[in-house]
Amino acid sequence: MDEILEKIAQRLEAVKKAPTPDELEQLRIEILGRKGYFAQLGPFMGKLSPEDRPKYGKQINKLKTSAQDAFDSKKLEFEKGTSKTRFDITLPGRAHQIGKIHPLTIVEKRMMEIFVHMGFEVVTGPVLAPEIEEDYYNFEMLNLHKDHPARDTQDSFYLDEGNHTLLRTQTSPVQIRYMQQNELPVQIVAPGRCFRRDMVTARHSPMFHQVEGLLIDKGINFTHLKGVLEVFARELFGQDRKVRFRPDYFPFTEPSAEVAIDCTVCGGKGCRTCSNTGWIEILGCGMVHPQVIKNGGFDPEEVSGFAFGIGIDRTAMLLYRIGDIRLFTENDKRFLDQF
Amino acid sequence: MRISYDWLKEFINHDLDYGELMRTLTMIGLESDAADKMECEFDSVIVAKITKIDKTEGGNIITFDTGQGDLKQVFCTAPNVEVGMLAPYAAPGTTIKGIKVEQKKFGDFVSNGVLCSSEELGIGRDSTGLLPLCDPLKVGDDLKEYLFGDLPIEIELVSNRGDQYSFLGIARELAVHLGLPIQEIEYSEASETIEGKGDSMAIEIPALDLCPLYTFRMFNDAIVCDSPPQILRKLIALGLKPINNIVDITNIVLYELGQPLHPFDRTLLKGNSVIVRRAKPKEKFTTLDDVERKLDKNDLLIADESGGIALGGVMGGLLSEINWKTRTVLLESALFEKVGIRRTSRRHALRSDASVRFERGVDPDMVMKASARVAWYVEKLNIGTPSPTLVYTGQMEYPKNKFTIRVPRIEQCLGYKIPYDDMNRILTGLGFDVNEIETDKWELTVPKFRSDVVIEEDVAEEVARHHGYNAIEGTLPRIQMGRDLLHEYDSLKMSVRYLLAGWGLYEVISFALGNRNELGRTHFLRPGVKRVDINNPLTEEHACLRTNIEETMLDVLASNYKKRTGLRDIFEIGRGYWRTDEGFAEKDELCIILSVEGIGKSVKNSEEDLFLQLKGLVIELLKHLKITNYKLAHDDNPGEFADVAGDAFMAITTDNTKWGYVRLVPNDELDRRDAQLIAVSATLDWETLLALHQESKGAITLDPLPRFPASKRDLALSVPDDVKYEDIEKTILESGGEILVDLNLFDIYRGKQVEKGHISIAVNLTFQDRERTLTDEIVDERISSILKALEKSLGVRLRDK
Ligand SMILES: [Zn+2]
Repeated sequence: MDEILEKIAQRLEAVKKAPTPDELEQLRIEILGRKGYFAQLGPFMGKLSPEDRPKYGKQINKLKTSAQDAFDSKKLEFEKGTSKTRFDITLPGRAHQIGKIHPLTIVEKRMMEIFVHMGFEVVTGPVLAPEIEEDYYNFEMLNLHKDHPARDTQDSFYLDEGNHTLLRTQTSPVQIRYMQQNELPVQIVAPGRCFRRDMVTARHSPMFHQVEGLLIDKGINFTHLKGVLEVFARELFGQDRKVRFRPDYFPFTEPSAEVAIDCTVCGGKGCRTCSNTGWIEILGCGMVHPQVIKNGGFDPEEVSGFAFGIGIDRTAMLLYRIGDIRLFTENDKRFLDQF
Repeated sequence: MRISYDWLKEFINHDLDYGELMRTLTMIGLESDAADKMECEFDSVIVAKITKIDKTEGGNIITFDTGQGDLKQVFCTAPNVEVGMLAPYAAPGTTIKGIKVEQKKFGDFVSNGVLCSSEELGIGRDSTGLLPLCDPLKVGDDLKEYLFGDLPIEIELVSNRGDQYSFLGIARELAVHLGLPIQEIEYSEASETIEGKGDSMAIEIPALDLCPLYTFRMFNDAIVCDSPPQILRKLIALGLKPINNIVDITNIVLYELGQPLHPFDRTLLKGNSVIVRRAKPKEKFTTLDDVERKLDKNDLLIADESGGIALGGVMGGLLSEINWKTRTVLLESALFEKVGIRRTSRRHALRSDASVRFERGVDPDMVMKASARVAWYVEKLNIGTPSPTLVYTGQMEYPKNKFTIRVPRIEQCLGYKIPYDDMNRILTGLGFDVNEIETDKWELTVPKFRSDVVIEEDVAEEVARHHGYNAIEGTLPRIQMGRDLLHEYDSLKMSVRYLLAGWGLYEVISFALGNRNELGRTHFLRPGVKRVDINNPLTEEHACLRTNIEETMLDVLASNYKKRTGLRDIFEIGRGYWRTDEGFAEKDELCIILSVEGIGKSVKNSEEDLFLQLKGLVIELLKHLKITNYKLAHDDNPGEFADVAGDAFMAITTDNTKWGYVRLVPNDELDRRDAQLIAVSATLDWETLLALHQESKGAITLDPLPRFPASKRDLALSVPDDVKYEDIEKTILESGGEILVDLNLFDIYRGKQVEKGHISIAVNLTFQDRERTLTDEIVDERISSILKALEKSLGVRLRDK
């Protein structure tokens, strides 16, 4: 009899570990079934003395109850679908939803981080970087005189009859404003909104965002321009990007350059994104024109510097493969949700 | 500017392939891209040689060879057929301008296809006869393969390099880079140059300031017809429609040398002088594109005795153009002043190949060269007799500019040593005369076509460009430490953005321009200001600036609502713009908008709920920014905004200055945008927010943590409907004494269980004494005095159980 009781205790351990409902059922038949261990105890009971019988009876009942419990709870585990927990961890998590930061902010922030780490001061705000600007700062002081053909690409929204006040077409007027009010070294980046009198298309918007950069100090030369912008391009687009400088023209820099990286889509083999050239232009730059340095209140014989301008919208389009500039100002939730 | 691969080889004999050529040009500053070829309107047209002409009724039966062994025959009415002539032949099955050529019967005769005119093929304007073909085309050649065979290249030229608007200019750049010579091209110079009058025609220039030099040369016995194949091929490569041989040649020379030219039919000119004058006020003139233009005194007109014949340097006139009957051509080659051309071109929105070049400046030496080049073509093609005389009025000689450079300055600018020999070679190749006054001091004589080079930095660019920008290695400058690089004006924006996003809000960047009918609601924070309008809007949609960002953010909300994207809670830190009597102004502001869909819900409850959510958010935000010096209260003095402000309008005030507000957005502003939403908004002036933040953030002194436990009590109060929570709060705080340290509202209940005309408000009170543990007796006593005060001043009682 004790053997059987011991056997039951042993087999109940197996119940707890039963891997499948089928095996559990087998064990149930073995223990609680018509011919199971408990049934086998019956004949022994009859042989017990009247004083021992209640004691064993109690013990067997208790054992039977706990056996039944073991089977029931194991069965419940199987029904719940997991053998370890009592609740469904695959239900969706419950959280207060976090909102979104606009992709242009994300890109601007990243650019600012890179430049701040290289010692550039961030300049914004209505005082040094007004968006309602004077023609004088936006064009004249940057060598873009009234009849300069380069003005063709920067058709402006004027705010007055005399065409003196306009919405800035570029962040470059910050160069002059900052130089006129500060001492050396001038080492700034100025992100901000710009406006051009363009029709809205997938590639052009009358409102867009730029970062202006300017470094004026003693002994600054073209190699510094290259060094700083190479670091920037690789920080932003990846350390193994190739960076290419080619000659370009801007009225307020001389020499001037356009910086390109090898195409991030095709890796330089040529594709639609890079118009089969293998290169994608990311910014314009150059050594600050002596006249502009003079306009800023410094002596170009004593100091020199470089400047650059980067399109934030353009860069974001490149980084995230956004094909339509209008998406930035449409602010469709399904767009914002992806950043 | 467009060039083509084969044609360029006439100027420089390089061995770069198409792709290499474009890459090379790009790297010396001539950004090049493969251009689309002009569309060919025919397929497989073959060069045929006419071997026999048989007259028949109404025309000829032409027998010809197509180089495929057998002779073919067609019926043809063209008057210019001749035995031995080469002409384009389209066999049956060929498609021309979308139409299939078929066999045709003329009586018993089966015409096997067609011989074509230039007009039929879409490569000319003569429809009267066959297009005569000649060398280098041979019998059996595929016409399309030849005429459309040159590869076009589009060059994105920079705006200060007029000299690059020609094959010659581009070849010059390439020659320096590749170390190759420029191929000489031929000219047929006039044997004499006469000032003022010649060949029975005079030049008068009353407007010398706009036209310093005007020349012409006559071509007699001109034969105006289609251009020969080698000219057609060049025009097609550039995407230019062939017109007639004379006009085509002037276009070819314009591209070759960069000097715009204009041919007139001499017999259509009235009188015996060309007058270069300013237009009279309101004088009318019809340009070649058949548009009548109203001129003013700033426009330069080339005129004869009866009136305008060309808009000087921009476009010719309709009345005097070269036509099939022209026998005497007067070829204009002149110098027009940049700014005048640019102004006229812009005023009339008229850009031409000529105006683009004149406004960037042309080489004065090319005025005569170009004329002589046309003469060479005329002689070579045997289509007229150039007069031996060139007639001119104005200034013939133009001095070259000279300046001295300090060669080490070039090195300083580049931070890189380019060997002096190299520099010298590059500059000489580009047309400069280099005179080494000293080793380090060079006098440069600038070629007339490079008026853009005036300072040392310009020279630095020339040498760096041809040496190769990428040969110069980058270095990093010394960084100045200890400057404040990221100002709080910007860094705080970033913190607030991430904070609000963490709250579940979406950052948007709304469009600052808009429609005048929709934008420009006066700004609550800036009474009396006016909207900023664009003086020269391009479209109605972008005709003014927003005064506040709330209005353009509501547009974002509405457009998302229409697309059912589910965007509800948004914020932006952006700029508002306005105008006062003092001038224009602009400021950054933070705006937060919360919204819910406004259908099928208890609107009033949603409004209150939403308003309180936003109010709470603003208070929490300010608390987080350690801003305490402000009052947020119902605006009792909305002034000019009384009508629009409404009840649910709170102002944020510091030292009597309003710098923010929280409001329920009135229905009409959302209805107007077709958005069935309930929205609340908060706008805060960024500068003030920043200033208050900076004022208080440094003032933190730690308050020691309490050593004794606090005691908390809840009160359920029955409050008459007309009592404001503000007053309950005030009463409780006043009567609770110093040990009452916190008060929170945690439930509001309206319903049956509450006494009529009352609502139930449940608050939680925290009592704390820093010196001892509070006993129940003390707290009970406080509660009872609070209840007494509430009952007495507000009629608020403890709610019956
Ligand atoms: Zn690519």
